[in-house]
This record gives sequence, structure tokens and C-alpha cells, in this order.
Amino acid sequence: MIVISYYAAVIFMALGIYAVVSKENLIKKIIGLNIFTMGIHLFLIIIGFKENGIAPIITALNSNYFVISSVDPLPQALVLTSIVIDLSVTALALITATLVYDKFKTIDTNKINKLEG
Amino acid sequence: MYNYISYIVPMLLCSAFIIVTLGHKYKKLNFNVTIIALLSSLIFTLLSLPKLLNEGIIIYQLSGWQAPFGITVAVDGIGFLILSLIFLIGLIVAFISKHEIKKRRYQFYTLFMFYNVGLVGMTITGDIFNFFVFLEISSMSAYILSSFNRDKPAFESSIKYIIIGSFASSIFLIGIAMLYGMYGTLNMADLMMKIVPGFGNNIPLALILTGLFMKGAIVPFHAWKPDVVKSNPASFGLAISATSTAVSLYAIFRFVYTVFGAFYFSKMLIYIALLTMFVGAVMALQQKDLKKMIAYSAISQSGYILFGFGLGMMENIGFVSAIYHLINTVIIDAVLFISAYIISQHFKTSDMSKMGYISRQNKLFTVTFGVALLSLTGIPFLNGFASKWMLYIVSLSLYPFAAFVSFIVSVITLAYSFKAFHLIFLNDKRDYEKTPLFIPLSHKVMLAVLLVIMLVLGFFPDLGLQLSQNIIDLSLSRDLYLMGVLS
Amino acid sequence: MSLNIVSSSFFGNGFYTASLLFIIFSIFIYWIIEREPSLRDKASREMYVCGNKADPDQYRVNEHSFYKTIINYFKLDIIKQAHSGKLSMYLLWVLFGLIIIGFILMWF
Repeated sequence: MIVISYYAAVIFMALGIYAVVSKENLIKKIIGLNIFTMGIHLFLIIIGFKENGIAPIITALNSNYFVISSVDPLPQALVLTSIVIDLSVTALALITATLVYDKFKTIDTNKINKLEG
Repeated sequence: MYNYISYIVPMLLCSAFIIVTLGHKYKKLNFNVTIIALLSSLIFTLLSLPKLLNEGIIIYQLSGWQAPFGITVAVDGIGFLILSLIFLIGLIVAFISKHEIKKRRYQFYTLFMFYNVGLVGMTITGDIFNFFVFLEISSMSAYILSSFNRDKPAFESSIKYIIIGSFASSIFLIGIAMLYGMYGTLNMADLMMKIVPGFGNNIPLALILTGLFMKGAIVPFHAWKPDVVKSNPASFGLAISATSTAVSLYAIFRFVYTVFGAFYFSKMLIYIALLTMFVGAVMALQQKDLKKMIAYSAISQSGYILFGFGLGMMENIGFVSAIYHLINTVIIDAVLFISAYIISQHFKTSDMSKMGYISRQNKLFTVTFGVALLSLTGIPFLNGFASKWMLYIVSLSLYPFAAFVSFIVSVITLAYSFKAFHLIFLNDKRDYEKTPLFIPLSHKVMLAVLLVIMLVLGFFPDLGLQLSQNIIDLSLSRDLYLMGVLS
Repeated sequence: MSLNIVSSSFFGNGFYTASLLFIIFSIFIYWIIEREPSLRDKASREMYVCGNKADPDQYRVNEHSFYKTIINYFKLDIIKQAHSGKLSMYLLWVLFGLIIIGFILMWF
């Protein structure tokens, strides 16, 4: 199960990198960036995951076997932070893309090259 | 002794919130709050100097959580220098932008304070993920600032910066995730203790370096920087060129030297550094735009600093020359960007082919600009000479080919400096104008002080060398860092 | 290997020499600033070729072809053409840079 999830994370990242680098549409690039980050988030989540793990909350019942059986809570906190960052970057990128479209009347990144050299 | 360093980040954040809420109503508040916040941060930094000298490193465990679990603030010698440089350059940027930014000032100052928050956090934090968060804070405010002019080039540079920047920092995040998966910790000192030297460390290190190189605009991750500098106010260009590069180079030092202790890494840093200085100089030679030329020259100089770091992995004196060159470069960048503001405001454009013949209008300004360009090249008795000379000497014994390339790059630097000086000041294609060059008083004072510093550091290089030697002595001990954070 | 640059003075034991040079340089700067050179006006900029008046724009060096010969000889304009302003290209650089850093790390 965990191995399959690792493969899924790597496939997500590869798809994201492919979309960011090769697509010429600005919106598609931003979507690719999002897929890439989602792959990283999945990767982070799997790092802290355990087969048949319990939620990382200490109670009187589970304090004996808590350390060996609970999943790692830290990556989840990291992913939460990272999602917020990713959301704001995506929002900013989309706003800037609309403003670029207003000025250039295109979202083809090969035609937005007035600043070459 | 009291710990002042940990107050800087909240104070800068508070000033940003004050500006964003009250700034558009009370116009004078923007500038004053910025100046007060930056000055008091500088004073707090300087007040913590005795602690640094006594204990060798400033450590503060945030909210009392002990090191592997909480977030640690750790400032060593180079960190102290970088903090001082951030605030000094921040003050210069605030003074330039007072005259340069005419509208939407509160937005500029708010975003600029957030940018400084990110840089300060990157400098002082001892936690990798916290480093990533601060990197994103400073990058994001830079993304917004880079579309500040709201015209065609500004939006183009902004969208390019956003996509390249967030792509590279996502790659940085993979590196953090892999390190956490391998060693189960995010604290730098804890990581340093747990790291097993081996083949597997190289992949996360390469991913982390990609993010840092993007932030520092090292070739081949530099493509966003000249566009951003060209299409935006000169004050923001100074902030992007001087402090951002300094902070990311310090982070490279932290990761490669302190955390990983990867001494075999020196060769790779030197290759990247040679590529950076060569491409930067060759591109600067072919520019028509003044700001773009300065941006490429800053890229080229950051290559020299990286070169020093690469040499320092083998021979500690490389670090000394790198730090000395960092100080010199920041001073020269400040002079060049202040001059770029004055010149482009005089000619109403930053295209060098439309300029000319202002050498007679203000001779002291001409001399200052010329001295800055010559010290960029490393002419003897000016301040860039001693650091470059040390870099040559150290690399001659270790990598003779690298010394040769860096010398060639210095010659190219002389070529484009001469071209810029001729086009702006001596070129008599334009008629002599009677209208005097307008230089505000604050800019005059800043330029005069920087000119004196350049000359004094040039004629008495021992001052700078002693300073950088002391700074390096305070930051090379890995054991002190480990003990300080974890005990 | 001894690289004792820092322990002794950088220019040897020449503090007084350096001070003297510093003073001379300051006086030189003062002289540059204070002297009154002749201004080049329109009449003095006129060019003569074989006794005939020449068009200055035809004979002057174009600013942007200052180092054209060197740039063309070493094919340095390839680097400028590589900065094509295309975003996909720049992102490819980031990817290639990452791969190259990884490779150098693996092989050395």
C-alpha cells in the first residue's frame, strides 16, 4: 500500500513537472505547478504514515503502545502549512495571469517575451 | 544577558500591519514607521553583539521548547553580518523609495517590510521547514512587488518570477521532505548530529540547493532577476540584488558547511560559480539598459562570492575573502542603484543609448559612479581589489584554471564598466544641458558616505580583512553550533 | 601551505604609504571636481575629413558595437540569444541545473 502511494506521489510530481515545463498555456502551467505541489504533499503524508496506525492523540487507553502504533503527526502539520502557502501562490499566479492577459491579450507564454536578452 | 534578536521578526511584522491599516490615510506614516522599524531592528542587532562575542553564537529557544522539538533561533558571525546588512540596505531602500515611489506608497512599504521579515527569518532560523516558510514569505512579497509598476513589462517579469520561483521552492520542499524521511528531524543541529555521510545525502542536498540558487539568482536559475530589476523601481532592484543574494548565499553556507559538512562539495560550487560569473559578465557586456546591466553585474559578483565559499571548503581563507567580497559588493551595489535612480530619473528612461554627457553637471556624482565601477572591477587601491586578489591567490594554488577564468571575467567587468561610464557620462552625442542634475539631499549624504567607505576600505584593506576574519572565526565552529542548540 | 595574508598588513607594512596615497587620491578627486574644463559645444564637435565637413553620426563609434568584434569572434552572443524570454526555456534551465548539480554530486 505504502509503496503504491510512493509511486503515486512520484507520478504526480512527474506529471506536474511535465505540465509546468512543456505546456505553453499560462493557466496550464499554473495547474501543473499545483499538481506538482500536490505530489509533494502526498509524499510528505506518506513519510509519516504507518500501516494500521492510530490517530496521534494520547489517551489513557493507548498510552502503552502509542509510540509504536501512532502515525507521525509532524508531516501533517507541515502539509497544512504548505497547502496554505500553495493556495496563496496559486491565487497570486492566477491574478497575475489575468492581468497579463489584460495587457498582452494572450496567455501563450512564448508570445510573452518582450523582456528577452 | 537579554535576547534582542527574537524581537526583530514580530516588530517588523507589526510595523507592516500598522502601515497597511493606517498608511493610506496618514501619508507620512508609511516612511516614518519603516525607518523606525528598520532602525530599531538595527539597534537590536547591534545590542546583541556582546552576547555573540561572549558566547560565540546567539541561541534562543522560541517559547521555551527545547531544541529538537521547538524552533531555535541561532545567529553566528556571518548571520550577524547579514542581519546588519539587511537593515542598512533596507534603510537605503527606504530613502531611495521616498523620492521614487509616488503613488500607492503604503503598498510598497508594507510589502517591503514583509520581504524583510522573510529575509530576517531565513537568516536567524535553525529549523529547515521554518526556513522554507520564511523563504516563501519573502518570495511572495517579492512576487507582488515585482508587478508594482502595473505596466506591461512589470506584469511579464512578475508572472515569470512567480512560476520560476514557486517551481524552485517546490523542489526545495521535496528536499526537506526527503531529509525528514531519512533522519526524522527538521532541526538543523539535530540533523547535523544524525546525518550519516553517504551517497544518499546528495539527492536532498541537490534539491535544497536548487531552491537556494533560485533565490540567490545563481546561473542557471537567474533568468527572472534582470527582468524584475529592469521593469521595477531601482529601490526594489537594490533590495532584490543585494540582500536577497546575501541571505541565500549565507543559507548555502549553512546547509553545505554547517549541516551537511560536505567538503567534497567544493568542486561543484566552484563550477557553478565560474558559470555564474562568466554568464553574468558576458550578458552585462551586451546590455543596452542600465538597470539590466547592473542586475547582470550583481549576478556576476555573486558568482565571485560563491567561488570564495567553494574555495573555503578546502582552505578557510576562502571564506574570509568571500565575506569581504560580499561586504564590498553590497556597498558597490548600493552606490550603483542609487546612481541608477538618479540617472534614470534625470533622463526619464533607463536606456543607456538615450543618455550622455552629464559628467560636467555634477562632478562628485561622476567620481562616485566611476569609483564604484572601478572597484567592481578590482582596481588596486579601491575596495574590490583586496578581496578579489585574495580569491585569485587562494585559487591559484588549488584550481589554477578557475583563477584564470575569474581573472578573465574581471577584464570583461572592466569592459562593461567602461562602456556604461562612457555612454552615461562622457558620450557627447547629446548637447550639454544647463539643467542641473537633481540629487535629493538624502541621496547626496548616502553617496558621500558610501564613497568615503569605498576609498577607506580600498586604501586600508586590513580593516575589512580583520573584520571578515573575526566574523569567520565566530562562525566556522560546527561543534559550537551543535552544542549551543542542543544543550 | 601557508597563506598568511591576514596576519600581516595587506600591502606589506605600508600604512604610511597607503595614507600618503589616500591623501594624494583625495587631492586628485578634489582637483577633478574643482577644475573648469572647456565645454564642448556644437562648433567644436564638428568633424572634418579631407577638408570637407563630415556627418558626425557617420564616423563616430556606435555605442552598442563597442565590443562587437570581440563578441562576434568568441561567439558570445549565443549566450544572449539563449535568454529568449520564453518561460518554458527558463524552467527547463531550472530542471537541467538540478540534474547537473545531482550528477556532479554523484560523480565527484
